[in-house]
Amino acid sequence: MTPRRRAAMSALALAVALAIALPLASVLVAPHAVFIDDRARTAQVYLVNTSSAPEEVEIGLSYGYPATDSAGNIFVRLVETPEPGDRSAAAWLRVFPRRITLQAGERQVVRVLAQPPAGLADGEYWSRMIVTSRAVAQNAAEADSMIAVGVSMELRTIISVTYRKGRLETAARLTDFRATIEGDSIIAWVGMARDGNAAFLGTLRLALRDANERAHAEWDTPIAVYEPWLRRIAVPLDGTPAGAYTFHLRVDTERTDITPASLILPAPVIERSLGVEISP
Amino acid sequence: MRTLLRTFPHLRPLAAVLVVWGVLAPAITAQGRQLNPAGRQDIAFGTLFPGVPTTISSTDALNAGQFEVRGQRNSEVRIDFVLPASLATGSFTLPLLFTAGDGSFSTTGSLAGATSFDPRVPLVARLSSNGRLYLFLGGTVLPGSQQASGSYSGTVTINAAYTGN
Repeated sequence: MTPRRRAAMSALALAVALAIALPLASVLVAPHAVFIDDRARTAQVYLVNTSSAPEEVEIGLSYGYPATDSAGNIFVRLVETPEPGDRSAAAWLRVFPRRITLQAGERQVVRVLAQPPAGLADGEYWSRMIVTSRAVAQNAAEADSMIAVGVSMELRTIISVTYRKGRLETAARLTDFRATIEGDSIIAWVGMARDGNAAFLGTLRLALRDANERAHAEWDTPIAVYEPWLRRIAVPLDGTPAGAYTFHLRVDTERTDITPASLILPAPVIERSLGVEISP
Repeated sequence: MRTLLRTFPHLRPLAAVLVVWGVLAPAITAQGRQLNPAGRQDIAFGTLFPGVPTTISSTDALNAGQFEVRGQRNSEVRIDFVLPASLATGSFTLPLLFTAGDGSFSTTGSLAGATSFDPRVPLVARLSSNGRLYLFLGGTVLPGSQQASGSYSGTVTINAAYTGN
């Protein structure tokens, strides 16, 4: 075989169909926040395969909570080996089943059972449920001297699991609040810590207001304070004219995403304001 | 209802589904909303030739990988991609490269107004007012000049979590 013919054959051999129709993964997980009462000691999570193909699903537990990195980005910190003082429930929560195959459109109830140690003090104990789903592997048809290539997808959905015992108290504490104008955004640094024996769940709201209390830029998001964090938040100014403004922060316990509302523990509202000057 | 089902017996399966959903739906919404990351389209690199890299842009509607996150409207989510450095078949590998502009996201599903991001670093974004976030992923495969034939495969892992609980 001549080098030219060999090259041509080689090119043919590498005629790759990367667009193999791999099944696309999709598993709905609900609810996104699970609360277990110390009297019931059980909860349910629903999984629904919303794709058109079977899915393999694995369910794991790990201690974890929202945290921030040095750049102020938020992430869910998963801790494989909690420290003795950590409020981890991961070691004594059990999920059943841990591994299942869901057919297209099929629903499955996953039960979470708590077996807390004797003498557990009042308060909240935390874990994260990690639901990993992937399409059931299918053998790709492979022609002689061809290459078939596929990039499959694995989805991991991480939700909170909270065990609650006895009397619960929480409060958020503002540890830092400052702001600077950078380009077309106002950059806020917001530091929060928690008091009490339970996580703070609430909403953080930021608003840039003029002397007439008219809001020019607003931003809000649900927050959770388990351990101290310091977030960097960029709020677009959207053409706000130059001038003197008040940058207002409010942290309250209003949440529309967790029901019933009684699951949200009461806590004092925090409000702070800063003077901000936007240059022409 | 019974009269209706006697008259139209073929509606019985539908009625059963509605009854099951009626039981499940309140339970599903209790304590919180759902989170549902979903694949919409795999990355399609098309035909490869030895020694010739092939790049798919994240703005390539036909070939970019497409994912959708469905959840509570206006909520903030954190998305982490775990990207393979190569695809493999047996002991043979095919390098796969992701760079800073290989991700795009949009809340409308349209690539027209999508925002570029680096899929190698985490993305914190908000779901739309109807609870959607669309992600697009490109990349580059780098076949060697003597790339062996075979069925190469790899896995992209996507981690999705609400930041607020």
